[in-house]
Amino acid sequence: MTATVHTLDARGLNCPLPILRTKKAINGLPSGEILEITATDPGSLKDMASFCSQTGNELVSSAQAEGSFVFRIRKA
Amino acid sequence: MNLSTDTRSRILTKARELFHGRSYADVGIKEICDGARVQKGSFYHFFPSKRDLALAVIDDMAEDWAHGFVAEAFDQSLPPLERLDYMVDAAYYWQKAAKNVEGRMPGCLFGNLALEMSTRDDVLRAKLTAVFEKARNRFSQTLEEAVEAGALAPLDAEATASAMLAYLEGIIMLAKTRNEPELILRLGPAIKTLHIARIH
Repeated sequence: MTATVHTLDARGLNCPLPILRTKKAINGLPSGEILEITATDPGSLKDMASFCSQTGNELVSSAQAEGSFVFRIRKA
Repeated sequence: MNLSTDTRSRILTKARELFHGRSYADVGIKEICDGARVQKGSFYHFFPSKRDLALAVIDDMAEDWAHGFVAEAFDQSLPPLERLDYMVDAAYYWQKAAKNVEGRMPGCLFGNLALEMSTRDDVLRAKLTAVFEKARNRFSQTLEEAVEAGALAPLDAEATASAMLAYLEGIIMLAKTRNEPELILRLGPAIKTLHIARIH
């Protein structure tokens, strides 16, 4: 079964805004669905990892592409 | 951006960084000018004194935060008490990011300046009081909404809001002393348990 992927554009936002937006978006999703976040803040690499370990959601992938970071988080 | 706005904003950015990372007293105008690549004469064109600069730095940061993470956390579409969790998260992630860059957790700029300047400069003390007052109002409006929604038993919203602000500032100060932003995450969520009853 393929999980639905929701997207969040956090480009141009600085810490802690990408995390706050991610938290809001994740909170609105049913369990098992995926949120894909695109961010430009270099701090978001560490932030997304600690957000996931703090909240129990799963960081499925994090990748770098054309000056932005793309994260996929599965809602617990 | 025109040249004049750019010069003023370079001074503000550098002063904010230095005041926040060190202190008001420790940083001189010359160091700020050197760091911002601005001549002293041009500095005094924008800021007649170091105190005027500090007032502008406080306004600038308060404005940034009010439109940035404070607006995001106190989002009207969130249930009132959840907004407090977002504020705690914002404080934690902000402090952690700053520690990752500088190696040390800088604390709250307003809290740092309040501790340093309240016995030295009544103008700065008044400015900081106004900033804290605005923050307290956000908390008290949230509390009033929570009571209205039935999520909280009636309380003294003003006093509880002050207690919440003091709690958050206190945690940040302790976390700064330990250079351990995780303390904000550990202790912060209990902000929701503060409750000061009305005196009849």
